[in-house]
Amino acid sequence: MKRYDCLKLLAPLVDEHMLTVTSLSSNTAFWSDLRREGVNFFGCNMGLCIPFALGLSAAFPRRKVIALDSDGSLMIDTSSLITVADVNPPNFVAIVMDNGSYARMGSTFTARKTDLEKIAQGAGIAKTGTVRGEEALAAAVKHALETSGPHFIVAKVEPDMVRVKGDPHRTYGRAMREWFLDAVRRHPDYQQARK
Amino acid sequence: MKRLDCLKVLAPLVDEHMLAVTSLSTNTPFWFTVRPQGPNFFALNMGLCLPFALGLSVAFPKRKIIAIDSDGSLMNDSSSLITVADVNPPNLVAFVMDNGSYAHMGPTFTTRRTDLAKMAQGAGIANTGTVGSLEEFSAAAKQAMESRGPTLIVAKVERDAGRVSADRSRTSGRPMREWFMDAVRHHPDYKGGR
Repeated sequence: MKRYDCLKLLAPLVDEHMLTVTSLSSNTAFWSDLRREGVNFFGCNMGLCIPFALGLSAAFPRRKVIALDSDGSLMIDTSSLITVADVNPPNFVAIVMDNGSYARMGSTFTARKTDLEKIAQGAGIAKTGTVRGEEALAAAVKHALETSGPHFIVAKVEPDMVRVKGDPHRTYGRAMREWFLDAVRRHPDYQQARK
Repeated sequence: MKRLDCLKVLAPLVDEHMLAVTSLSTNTPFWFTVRPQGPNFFALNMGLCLPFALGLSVAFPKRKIIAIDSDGSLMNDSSSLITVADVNPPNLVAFVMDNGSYAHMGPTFTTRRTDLAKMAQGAGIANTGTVGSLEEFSAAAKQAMESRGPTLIVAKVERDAGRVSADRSRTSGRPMREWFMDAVRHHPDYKGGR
């Protein structure tokens, strides 16, 4: 299963008012290619994707918030899963694209003994799954977006053959953050909260 | 089950050449009470007990290394479980004294949804268990000390009544570190500095 194909399946399921956060990996370049509009925060540094999405899920309780994390990133701070379990946000969906490898450092622990779904269960997240095929992924994501969470899905994908870079003006640094904040300001729930 | 009773059971299983590491909690004064001599590193800051013990387990492969950690500390860096699973040191025995509470901040997540033994299994540590009575603790500790690890045992203990302090010149700061380094230098397996 290829990461890009997974994200392609996911994009039409995400409506314009849902919020997404991506980790610093090819998730960023791929997702920015597939979902150009809406509230997207791209390229969270390692370990920070799920915590950032958790904050957004508290700020936008009526919308699904989707964390597109990756194995190397999540394993920097698996304790964030404990916080997710404890806050227990019904609108939180984490999808971990697990390719079993770091971008430049060889294989990760998930290629050997580590099972991220089991760690999430141990942390206390009840709704978890691991998927290895596109159909299973589509079904899991649809279910997660339609039902109360938090949800945690591990998608086992192949290592990406090439490194891909997104448009830096949309996926990186101050320019990305300004796009993000602009989208947040235009979000209907944000406007209501201000009134 | 009381924490001090567990550590009293554990102490006689730890011989003079094994190395022990404690987290910043009542583990420190209690362990100092039951094992004042031998290589002990006391009161590692939150999240650092298990990683420090992992390093010692690599440095002293012929000896059991005992991490006496606690729930609040381990949850500060549960990813260290992944590193332990991956390094897979046969001589590491970790005890997590889980009283479900921080010293000064109320209950921890283990009183609600979090299961640390399950997280350790997910990380990839095969030998894990949770014990709730002194008999179970004693049996699990004996087995862990006699078999190949890494082993992680979560001991569900009561909250300590009142804070206990130990001789600070032995359990904190530079004097503690000097005691520890001195014990390491006198250890039969120690091959000297660089």
